[in-house]
Amino acid sequence: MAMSPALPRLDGLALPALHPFLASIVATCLVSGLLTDIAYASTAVIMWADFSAWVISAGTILAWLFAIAGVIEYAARPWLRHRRGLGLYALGYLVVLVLATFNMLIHTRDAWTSVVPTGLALSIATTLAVLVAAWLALPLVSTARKEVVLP
Amino acid sequence: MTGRTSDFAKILAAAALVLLAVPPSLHAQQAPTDDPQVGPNPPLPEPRQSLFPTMHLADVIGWKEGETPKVPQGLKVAALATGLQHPRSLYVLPNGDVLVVESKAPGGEPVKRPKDIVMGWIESWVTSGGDSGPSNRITLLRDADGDGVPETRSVFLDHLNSPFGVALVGSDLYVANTDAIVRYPYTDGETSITAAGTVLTPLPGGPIDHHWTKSLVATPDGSKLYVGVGSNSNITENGLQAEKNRAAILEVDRASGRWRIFASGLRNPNGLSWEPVTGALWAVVNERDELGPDLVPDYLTSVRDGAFYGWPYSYWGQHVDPRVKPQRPDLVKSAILPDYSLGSHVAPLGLAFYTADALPAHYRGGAFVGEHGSWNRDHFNGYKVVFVPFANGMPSGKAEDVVTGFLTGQGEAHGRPVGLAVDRTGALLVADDVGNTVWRVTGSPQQVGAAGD
Repeated sequence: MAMSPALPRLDGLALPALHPFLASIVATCLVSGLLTDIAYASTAVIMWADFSAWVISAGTILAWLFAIAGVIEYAARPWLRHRRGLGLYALGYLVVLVLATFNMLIHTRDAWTSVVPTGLALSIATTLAVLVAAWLALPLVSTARKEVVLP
Repeated sequence: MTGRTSDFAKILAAAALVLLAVPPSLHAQQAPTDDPQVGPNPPLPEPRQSLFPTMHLADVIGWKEGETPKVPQGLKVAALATGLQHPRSLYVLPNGDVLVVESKAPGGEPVKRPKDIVMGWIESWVTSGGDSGPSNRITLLRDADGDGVPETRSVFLDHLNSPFGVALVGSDLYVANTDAIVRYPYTDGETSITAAGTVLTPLPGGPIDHHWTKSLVATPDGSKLYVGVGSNSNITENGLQAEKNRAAILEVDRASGRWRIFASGLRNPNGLSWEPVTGALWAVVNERDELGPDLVPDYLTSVRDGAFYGWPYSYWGQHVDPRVKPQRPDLVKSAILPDYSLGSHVAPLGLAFYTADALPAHYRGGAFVGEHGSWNRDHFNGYKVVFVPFANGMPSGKAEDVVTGFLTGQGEAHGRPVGLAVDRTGALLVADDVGNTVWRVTGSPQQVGAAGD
């Protein structure tokens, strides 16, 4: 920690954590996958299964890239480490990663069983995990706001 | 080197899963020839879907000068022609001239899912020795003295659209392009046709055109043509609308070009041929993938008028495929059993009944089958020409290996057999589409043990 003692709060003010903003893109893709899965399961129109494969694959690959970005950010910006709840959030994010990865692979199957039942179940589980992870991320984001008003 | 591409698929899956390692498996070489699934009643395991389709393709190394496939004692194999461009099927004209149909996949199959990109990428690593020249043409080989060395070689028909089947009726030569049956005028002895063709009937073609080879045969009286039209997907993943008039054998009236569906539920029927005793139409059929290494057996079957053989709703009779929605129990009930399983994923694309007498008598009346070889299986299956003995118009025993040695001990491919034909001298011809060779198998009792082969 070669930081000047006066700086951390200002750094936090100027540069909020990048990772949660990126992660919102992942959340959008993965939750969309649940909606298109539901559409396919209720219509059997193959277009919806194709949509699911695209958004879930995109969400999963971005999730891995942004996980790497998060690790780099953690290493490069030491003051972020003191945020409460970081460990829990990381755990939640890891659960999303694992579920989404399995879901991406299930969605490479052909036709009905790419979605029903395993893909749909994983999309529901992924979406729930995304919601939990987003909730766990709240203190990380809101702490940054507090830092704005406190000094 | 063996299974480089499959290792890639595993690395992909393993990398994605990180903590959840996919168990690695060693790739053995050629599967034992004693496949319990070969025969009329193959044992069928429960379907099993993996996280990513097993992709095990053989690296293509081609044939070096002097290398040939292997044949059993009493037979001899030699190249009839080399340096071809994806020779896929063969047709012997009445005067003995051999037509070699050189053909490439139409290309342009639209990318509909991320899987298409990944699988296309993996497959592109093992294409046959690159795109080295023009294909989609028919080359004529003339070996008038029957010594296995053609005296002339000429481009017979050029600028075709992924052609496969050929049939001659009188002076009308029919070529089954991937999108149409086209008629050309042919006179005996011609080595090249320049006349423009006339479309007899369009066939289901692009833009997807997943199974694109259109096998063709004419009835002995010349009144009808039968054409095989493969499905537009593995198992309806391109939607049921894309399967209209596909996975079927069409009966085309030669005079009018009108056609009807003769038999359906045949996922990818090829090698349409007449069984010599009964005169029945037979075909080899490529069944569906991605249900496990031992599902679904590809088969050799007689094709009955109006019959339904299961695809996509069921396989091997009434085994329902869970991937198809909506399901059709009414059609599944009507699905009939194929006659003879060739084993899973062997990819039969060529069929020739043997009625000549130049090969040992053992082969007379039976069927040779060209097996292009598996991709959706850890242990290779196929990659050879087998012989199925027949009695009274039905298969009468276990298939035997006839032409092997397309794979090396390291799991690389010299070539892959596809279309078959019997030439005027009674020799068996084998098109090898990645070895870019036509092989000629002759009987040679006097040459057994001779040096130089």
